[in-house]
This record gives sequence, C-alpha cells and structure tokens, in this order.
Amino acid sequence: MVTTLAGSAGQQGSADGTGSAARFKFPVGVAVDSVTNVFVADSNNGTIRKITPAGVVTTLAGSAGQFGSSDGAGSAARFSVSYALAVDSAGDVYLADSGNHTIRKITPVGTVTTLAGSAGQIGSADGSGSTARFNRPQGVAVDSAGNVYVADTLNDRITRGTPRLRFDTSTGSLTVSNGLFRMRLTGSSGSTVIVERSANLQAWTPVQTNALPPGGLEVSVPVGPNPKQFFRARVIP
Amino acid sequence: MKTNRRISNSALLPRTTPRHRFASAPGWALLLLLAIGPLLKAVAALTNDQCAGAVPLSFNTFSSPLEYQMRTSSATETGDPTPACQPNFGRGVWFTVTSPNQNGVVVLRTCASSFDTVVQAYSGSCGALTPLACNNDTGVVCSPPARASVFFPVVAGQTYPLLVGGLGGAGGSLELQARFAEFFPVAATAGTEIAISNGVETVSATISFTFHDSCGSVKSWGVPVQNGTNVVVDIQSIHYVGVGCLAVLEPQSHTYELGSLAPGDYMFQWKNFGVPIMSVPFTVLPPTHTYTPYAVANFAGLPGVSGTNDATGSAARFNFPSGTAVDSTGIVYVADTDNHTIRKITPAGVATTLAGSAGQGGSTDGTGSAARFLFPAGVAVDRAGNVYVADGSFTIRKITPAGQVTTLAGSAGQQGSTNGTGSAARFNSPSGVAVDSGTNVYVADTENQMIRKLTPVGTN
Repeated sequence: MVTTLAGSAGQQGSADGTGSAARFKFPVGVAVDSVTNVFVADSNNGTIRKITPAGVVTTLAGSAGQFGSSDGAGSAARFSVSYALAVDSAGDVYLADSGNHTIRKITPVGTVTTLAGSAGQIGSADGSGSTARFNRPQGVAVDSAGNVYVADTLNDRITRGTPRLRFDTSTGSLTVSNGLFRMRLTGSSGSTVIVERSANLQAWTPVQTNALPPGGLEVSVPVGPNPKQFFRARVIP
Repeated sequence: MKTNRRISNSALLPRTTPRHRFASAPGWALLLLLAIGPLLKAVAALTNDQCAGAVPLSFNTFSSPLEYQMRTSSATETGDPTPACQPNFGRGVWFTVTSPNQNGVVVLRTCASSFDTVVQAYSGSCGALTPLACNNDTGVVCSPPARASVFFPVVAGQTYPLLVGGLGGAGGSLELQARFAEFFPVAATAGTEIAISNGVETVSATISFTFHDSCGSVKSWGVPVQNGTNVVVDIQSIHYVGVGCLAVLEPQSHTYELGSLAPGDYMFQWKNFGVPIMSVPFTVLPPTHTYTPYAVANFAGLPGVSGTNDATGSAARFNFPSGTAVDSTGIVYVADTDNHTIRKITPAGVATTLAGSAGQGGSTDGTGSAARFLFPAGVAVDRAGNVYVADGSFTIRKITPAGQVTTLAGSAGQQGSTNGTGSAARFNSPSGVAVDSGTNVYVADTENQMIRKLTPVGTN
C-alpha cells in the first residue's frame, strides 16, 4: 500500500510542516533510522530534512536555497548537489554530496562535518579524510561497523571508507555488571585489534586480541581492586 | 630611577607653576613685550630649541601626578629634521632620555599637552641621528588621542635624543611623561600538545615566559603556537599597556601559523625590536597514540574505466554506479545505473550481478539475468536480505536473496502521483529508497516533490 508520508504532488517548496503541509524540492536520497525517522536529501533546496514517524518534517541541516560546502551546525552548514543518504545505528547520517565531491556526516543534532574528500576537488585518489578524492558520488551506505561505501559514480567504481578504532561511548555500551566491566570496540571489521589495560598509563597488560567482527567487539574485563583502570586498543598488523 | 626630579631649566616648569608666566603681569608689561618682541625673542630663545640643547628627562611613572611642562610656542623651525611618521611638523624642541644600567623599554607620552603633538625618538647623537620610533596619533593611549606616545627599546647606559613638536607647526603647552621599563625574561618553558579534531591532527605548542616588570613583579605570558616551525616573536609586534608602574604585555592571544609542524626539535626566539633577547628550544613529540583517520580505498571497479565485468576488486567494472546499500553481513548492493543491473559485492570485494542484464534496459520481472531494469537509481536492503530498487521505469522493485525480481509498486512507464496498492500506485522519477526494520519502504519520489511510504499490507 503506497501512501504519502510528506509533501504534496507537484508542489515545490521548502516549508517545514506535517505531512502534506511540508514541501520538498526534488528530494533524491532517503534513509531511515532504527526508530523510523526518515532522512531526506532535499536536493534542490540544499538541505537535509528529517521526518518523524508522525510525518513531522523539519530541516536538520542546511538552509533552503543556500548552496556551498561549509561544515557547521544545522542551518549554518551548506551542501551542493546532495544525493544519497545513509544512516548508522547511532543515528549519524552520511551524505554523498555529489556537487562537492565529498562525503558528509550529519549528527542527530545537525552538526555537519566532511568525512572524506575535499570540496570542489575531483579525483580518484585513495587516502585519509580530506586527501581522498571522488567524482560526483551518488550513492552511500554504512554498515554496522561504520564502514562507509560510496558509489563514486563518474569514476565508475565503489570505494570503502574505514573508520578509526574507537570505544563505543554511546549509551549502554559501557556497563558494569556481575563484576565485569563491559565495553564495545568499533572500527574496521576484519582488522586485528589488541586491547590493553593499565593502572598507571605506563605499564600495559594485554586483555584481549581479536579480529574485529562487524558490529564491533564486546570486551569484558573483571573489575579489579584498583580504583582506576585505563584501557587502550590498537590495530596490530 | 623612580625618583622624580625637576629639570632646572627655565623653560621646564612643574605642573604647579602657572602655565602662562606673564598672565599675571601688569598690562603695560605685556604691551612692552609686544613692542620689543623681536628683540626679546632672540634673547629668550628656548635652550632646547636645537638638539645640542636637549633637556635630559628623568623617568616617571604614569600613575604619578608629577609631569613636566613647557611652552613650545616660541620654538623655531631651524635645523630640525623631519619626523619619519609625520612630515607636516614644526616647533620642535629637544630632550634626551638615558637608560639606567639595564636594557629595557622607554615609553614617552604627551597626553596632557594642549596641542596635537608628534614625537620622534633617535639613537646616536646630534648630527648623527638614527630614527628609532616615531608617533603622531596612531595607537596612542591618550585621551584626546591627538597626542603622541612612543615605545622604543633602549640599551643600558645609552642616551637617546627625542624631538617633540606640533602637527603643522602647532605649539602650546607641552606636557611630557617618560617611563622606563626593565623588561627581560627570566625563564621560559615550552610545551607541546597534540590535538585531534575532525579526523585531522594538528599540533599546537605553548611557550610560556616569565619576566620581571619595572616594579620587580614577576609576570607570565604564554605564546600559543599552532603548526609552527621555528617561531620568532618580536616585542615590537606586541602591544603594550601602560598601567601603573608596570610594563605589562597585553595578554592577547598571538597565534603563529607557519606551516606544518612535524615532530622534531625547534627553536623559539624572542626579539626586542629585532635584537634577539633569548632563544628557547622546544621539541614537538610524535603523537602519543596511533590515530587512524577515516581512510578511503578503492573497493571495486577501476576509476575512470566503465564496463560490466563481474570480478574481484579493481578487476570489476561498473557503469555510472549510483544507489548503494549494505546488509548486516557486509554485502554491498549497487544500482549500476547505466548497465541497467543490480550488483552485489562481498566484503572481500567480489562483484557479481544480482539481477538484470548489462545493456538490456526494460521492466520485466523475473529471476536474475532474466529480469530487466531501466536506469535503476536507489537501492536499499532489509534484514532478510531483500533488495529494493527505485527503478527508472517509475516503479519500486524487490529482489529476493535468490534473485527473484517483482514489481512492488507502480506500473512500468506510467508516471503519476496516485496513492494505492501495487500497480495502482504511481510515481514520478523515484530515485531514493530506504527500508525500515518492519520492511516499510520509503521512497524519495523526486519529481512529485514527495516522500512516499510503502507498507507491507495486502498484496502490495
């Protein structure tokens, strides 16, 4: 059964509102998060829109009719031709900003950063962050480990971006129960990581060495007698 | 040198002296003066009208009410050089300041004067003057600002001539304050830290100085340095604030960006008007932890080479790939738009064709290569591995993991905006598609300016 979640047939605009009162201007990309908020790359408005399950449309980032490449918070950010969207389990939105040849990231509160590529720089170089190059990327996807896949359209290829190794600090990821301190390590799935602990940041004791599974590595460590324990994780060759 | 002494020259009077010596004289005396003015003028020429007669000034503190005053109206123009900062100058008079037995900084002000003043400080001696600092109004901390203040470094025991006069030859009541500040660092430390923001490493260093001011107090001042190499800070570039008896450096933040700073040994040099005072070595340590920024690498396909090959990594070929999705096992799905196919890439980079046939555009449902797509745009994948496609034939397609393709909604080649079930629904250039955990499908129905939702009820 097909229904209209938001917008009105043939009516262009940028108005926020509920359901058919909202307006879009050539929406191209769409993504949905774990609580069924829908995110829209509202291409000709240069904005990222958010639609709640009740159909309430707001502008998460960008300013309608204002195009550019600025990172920033909410309406201060600018996009060029925004194309496809993806959203990860933490609610971060990834955008193929085709006109800027970059991949942007938008947090749930609308803070926009440039994840990879450099605005206005066309190319096909592999690299870290702003040293990577794309040519009109029009597709983006993110897996549970935070790897970002990009359809680098005019380069006729697919790229994979791997995130840095990090402890997941989102709610519920760091817990103490049954005498165990539990944490979750995320990064590029498949890489081998070692987790170590220390009481003084000088002497480090290995805790666990594992290949990082998709979705991250659960690490459980008995709560020791020391009032403080430090943990570090690193990728080993 | 904090003791103030009055200068025993008739032209220099303590402030308590009436400014107009003759104001209280009887009227006849004034008339007489006017009558014999030319004669008197020659006789009563100011002793400091020329450099050779310069009056030595003692140092004062700006908080003191004691100031020095003289009248410059009878000063002549003869023989005075032109101040570097203001050629329109006249009625100059001369002073000297002599540094005590210390290097330091001299500050001279004319704040309380009755006319617009210009000050030029020199090193050397009369006849062999080298201009040092000159000031008309710029940056003057006086009120009104049309006075002058100069700030220049002095070497222990040296005497410095000063030329003070009026803008455009103005004269009047000149009031002078001169202050000496002993100003040298007694300690310096340098530290660095590594800051990481937004995936980019930046190195910043802070160099802190401790120095004595003229009252013997110890002051600290830090210089933040970002991405610096060898760093030079010159006192000349730092504004001073004359408060009380202190030579206080304005605690504003100076940031020096001189390029990329790699780990290594560097030198920080502090200069006093170009003269090195001290050098501080500092070391930038390598990052204390390994940080891997977001790294992008080619996954499948070869940049700039289009084609249709199913193969691994860069041996595979695509033709205008656009929509992309990834499932829970890490398999990536791509709408290979200009090939009219849906591709599938394993985590190891092995690309295959899930459905459609390269170069064969169409709308036929079927299994695998028997199915046809027409410039497919967006793709999405649900938890069960079903793939949803926003197809260029104005339809939403569904592909099972076995490759069976059906048309979920819309009718091939039929544009419209009708809501409804299955083939009764219409779309107009649907380009983006997403699916939630309940297999509701969301469509960016681009040319309809709408977001559509497909719920898995009835027959779809």
